[in-house]
Amino acid sequence: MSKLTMNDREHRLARLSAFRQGRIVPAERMVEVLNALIEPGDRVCVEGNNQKQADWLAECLAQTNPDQVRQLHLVQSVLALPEHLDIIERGQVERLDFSFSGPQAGRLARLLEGGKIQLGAIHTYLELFARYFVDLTPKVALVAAQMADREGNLYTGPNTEDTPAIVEATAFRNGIVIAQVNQIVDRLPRVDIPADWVHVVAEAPRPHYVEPLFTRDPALITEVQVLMAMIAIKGLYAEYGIRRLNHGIGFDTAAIELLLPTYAASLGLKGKICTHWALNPHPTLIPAIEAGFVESVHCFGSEVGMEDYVAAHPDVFFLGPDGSLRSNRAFCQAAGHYACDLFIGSTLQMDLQGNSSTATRGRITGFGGAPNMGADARGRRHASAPWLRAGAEGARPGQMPRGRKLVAQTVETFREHMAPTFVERLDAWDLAESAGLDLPPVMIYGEDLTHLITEEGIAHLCRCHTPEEREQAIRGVAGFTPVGLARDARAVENLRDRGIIQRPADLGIAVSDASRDWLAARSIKDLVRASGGRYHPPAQFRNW
Amino acid sequence: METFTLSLPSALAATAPATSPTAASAAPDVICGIVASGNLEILVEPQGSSTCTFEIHTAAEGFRETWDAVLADFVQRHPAGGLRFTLNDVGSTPAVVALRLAQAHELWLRGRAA
Amino acid sequence: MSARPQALRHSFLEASARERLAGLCDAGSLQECCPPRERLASPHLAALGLAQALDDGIVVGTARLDDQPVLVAAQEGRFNGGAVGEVHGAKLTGLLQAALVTRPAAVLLLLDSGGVRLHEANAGILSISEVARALLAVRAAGIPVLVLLGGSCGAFGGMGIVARLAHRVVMSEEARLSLSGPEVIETVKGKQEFDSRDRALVWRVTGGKTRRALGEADLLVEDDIAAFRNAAVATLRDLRPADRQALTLTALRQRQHALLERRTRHAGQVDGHAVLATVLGLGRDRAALLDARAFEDLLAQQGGTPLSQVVPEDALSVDAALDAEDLAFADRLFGAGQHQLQAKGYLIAGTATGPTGPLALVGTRDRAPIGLELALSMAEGILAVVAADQGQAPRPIVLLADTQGQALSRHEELLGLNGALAHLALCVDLARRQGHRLITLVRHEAVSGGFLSFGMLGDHICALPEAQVRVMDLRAMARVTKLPLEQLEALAQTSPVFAPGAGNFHQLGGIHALWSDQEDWRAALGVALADATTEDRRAGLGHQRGGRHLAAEVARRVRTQAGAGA
Repeated sequence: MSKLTMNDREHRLARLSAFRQGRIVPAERMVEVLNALIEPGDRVCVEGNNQKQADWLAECLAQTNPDQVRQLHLVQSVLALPEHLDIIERGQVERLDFSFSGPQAGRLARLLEGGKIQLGAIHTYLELFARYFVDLTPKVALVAAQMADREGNLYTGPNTEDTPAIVEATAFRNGIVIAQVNQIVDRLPRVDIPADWVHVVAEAPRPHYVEPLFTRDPALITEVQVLMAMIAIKGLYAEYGIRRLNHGIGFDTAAIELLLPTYAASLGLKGKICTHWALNPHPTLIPAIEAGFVESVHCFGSEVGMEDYVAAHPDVFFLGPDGSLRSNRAFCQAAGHYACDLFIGSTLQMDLQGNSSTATRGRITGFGGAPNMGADARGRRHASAPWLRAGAEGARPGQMPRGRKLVAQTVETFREHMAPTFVERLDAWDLAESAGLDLPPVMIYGEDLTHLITEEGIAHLCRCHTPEEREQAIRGVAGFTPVGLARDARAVENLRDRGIIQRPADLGIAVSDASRDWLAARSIKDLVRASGGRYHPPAQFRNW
Repeated sequence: METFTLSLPSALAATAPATSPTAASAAPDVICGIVASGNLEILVEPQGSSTCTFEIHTAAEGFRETWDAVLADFVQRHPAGGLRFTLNDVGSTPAVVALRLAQAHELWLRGRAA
Repeated sequence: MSARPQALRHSFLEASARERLAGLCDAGSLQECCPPRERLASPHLAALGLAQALDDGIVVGTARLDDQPVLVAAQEGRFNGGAVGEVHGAKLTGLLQAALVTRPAAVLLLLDSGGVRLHEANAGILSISEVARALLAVRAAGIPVLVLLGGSCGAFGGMGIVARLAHRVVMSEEARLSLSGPEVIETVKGKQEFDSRDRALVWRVTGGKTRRALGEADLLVEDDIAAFRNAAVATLRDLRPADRQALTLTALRQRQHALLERRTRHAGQVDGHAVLATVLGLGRDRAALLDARAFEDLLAQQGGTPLSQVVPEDALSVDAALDAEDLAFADRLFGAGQHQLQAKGYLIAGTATGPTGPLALVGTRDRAPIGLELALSMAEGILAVVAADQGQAPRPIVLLADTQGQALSRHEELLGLNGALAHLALCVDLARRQGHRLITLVRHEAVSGGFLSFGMLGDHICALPEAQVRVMDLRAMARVTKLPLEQLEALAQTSPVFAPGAGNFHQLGGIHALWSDQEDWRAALGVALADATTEDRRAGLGHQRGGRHLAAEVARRVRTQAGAGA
């Protein structure tokens, strides 16, 4: 690997003198630019965020000369585009470090199994960002922004996401930052990345792709999900008085968001729970915001169609002087890890120790940010009532008192096609074996899990004293799955008497009251109405 | 399709006619749910025997043990003796079956109270 | 204390068929006919190993609305897409037949259906045809029929035509009303014609606001059961005596003119944006956020006025001599020199001397795809015969059916091909009521929607030897129903309910007579004219021939329970 020197960057940029006017190059010459700049063995980040994608630059990279642009080391958070995999398939990549592969999980698994590339590691977002500043600093970063001015300053728009972390690491360590922008303008609404951190800018032939990843159509929320949301609100949120939190992105948590202005309000919980969030601007949070439930929301990214709504709520969201959202994945991940008292999400499989995983055979999806959200922050030192209570509940006499983050999983006992959620052994073991991973890819470790919610009730795992008790508590809410049917009925009744397991009836919830009528919005159109017409859902979610 | 009938002991449910016999014949059927993927319909009727009878028609084959467990749990939690439940199912999870049974039972009770 | 939420709005879309009726009718007034406990499920679904519903996906019964007696039906859109099979259709037919006896203040139909249930396709399309005939009879008897559309399936296929036979259509923005599903059009004509996955586009073409702007629906309401109830009460209250009377020649000519005008006005349009811009002067997406009341207000201000300034293109007229094949056919049917028929494109029409004297012929040729233009041309042809015979003995009309089905295009759907076909059906029914005997001859092909609104409305339906009658071929059916082709082929050997073939339709009672090649067709036409009755006896015929065991009996039970006697 070449030694990084100031001369190296200057030397490489000098090769662009024929193309470059200031920092701006014409789009049609981008492939030549990449051929000229990138050297064999370079560490390259093709900005692929959870939502925003430097998709045109990825396409250009896939058209470079494989004799010149080769032996690359890709270091990027999300490998979501077919082009990312094309570059690997063309033999231009030697090594890969990433966080999440989403739709490309199957293809990636085949490439890894075929020995096409070496896998560095699968990281969480925060870990990968951290390693950008230690030993995985990109030499070339291909990033996406909404606009640039003629100097090369960038406006990232609401989807700032990973850009600041990538650019800061690259630009200050002698690397080269190349940006694709939707538009070059005379004056930016605001500057998100200063021009002297950026080296090449091009106006892409089409706007960068943004995936509406966080839109959940309320019409698809089931009565069972409503029931579980009622259990969560009464048995967990109200019980612990949770005000600072992060939600996963599934329908289960969307149901909770939509029950805040109705069910939670009917329990007198407004102002007492769910006031401060680390969360993307979920459309399903609109009714709660309008009902005055929410005081602040900091975002990892944005969401397609939420721009105007967010801009109308400077009281809630983090906005720039131009009035549009400023998101930041690195900061929001840190907020979710250290500043929130609760993470709640869903999973595909859980074992009897409470380890959960979304891994399935033949697919390497990675982690994203959930493991950081869904883990006790052992470095945390500031106290809050829910944190102290969760810490105290599991404490043994004489132990040093400390707090604990609440980490909850909300799952139905069976998934589609009668696949049981609760299993003796996670599929993650098989995947680790077949793909040669160092560890089974576990999303949330059982030791971090404090609560488990199913349609059968809530298990307060943090109140258990022994591993055996935990196992019976998990079996106790595992319903009619084989794992659930194998429970020790007496032990489970004992846990129920001690309030470790609570059935809906124990919480004063009649199962037959679980009605979709509780949802503050029952369709995308209801959300648009609730937003006062400020939410503009993408076409695939509209029926008008 | 798999079809089976199961009778289980359960505490007696209120099965007497809601009002006068003439009005009772006009009482609407107690039915809930819809025959659709992942869903089921349940019809509740009184029957001569004091046990609780289930007539199950399900599109998902091979889950007899799960059904037995779900139904045993239901008759334990709810007084359903003297009632007959007819279920037309298209692959509902136990969560949905249990929820529909609870809804059907409550509809029956409400019908009696009306 | 119950923790039940106090919902501000009870979504019609989300409610089940029974919940919709419970909220629509006066509290506690619904008395269901053939309720679930009678277990009138579909034996045809069971034969394929598929789940049945105890009510076969439709609730029918008697009720009160604003303290007036009404008959009601509600399809369950979530059971097999509300699709119509033998039992399902017979319940609806029986209810409509009961109305002729009990004469309620109105019949309310809460339709929610994709059309024919493919698992029993032949029985299904026949059922829809019988529903159409029964509805036309109720309408002719001066009993208001109101269609309410607010479900997830809307009204498609044959039920899209049936919906437009009613006096009034009330719908929500969420509902859809059309003929061919976007998926079908995309499969046949490609994604550029109709991208069925573009939800917003699908609704702009078929959804409530576009339908209301075009006049295919009479009132737009919010997705709220109470709003539907209020709309039903108000619509019935506002119906004038003249609106209730059976449609006259004059009224249908006015409708014909209006439909021709509309076709000219919206020529070339393929997106609801264009319709809303033309009718309401609204720019893209501007209509989306208007609520139902604001939309109605805007329509009252803007709509309706400029239409009279549009000069419609005339409907297609026939002016060309028959080609050799058609001429040979006409000669065989009527005798050489005994007919004055002309053709143009897919249309054929004229007069002839039949076995009982002069008769008229209107129909399609060359396996016609039936689109707006052809539907309106046929309607024009029927109206012309009725007009010509005013004050004299009405001539029999031969309805010559040769169609591959409805035309598939986004433009045709946008402009309401289902509505045009319903108009054609209303014209055919006018002819029947004016005393014209209607003899249908199926020549080469008769497929689904095009056949339903025309040929299937005949008093007596005959299939020529080479006639192919079908809803869908088995391969396509296997693909759509996700059933193995071998299973369908095996079952087709013993059951006439879904496989193509004129013989199957004959056994089901949908075709009165099969003509052979050896036969004297002119004599056979004489027999058909003698046998023709204005009463729809097809269900009984199907029972007699052993093809349909349930339709007649189920309809009878519904009539009895609705208080109409047997």
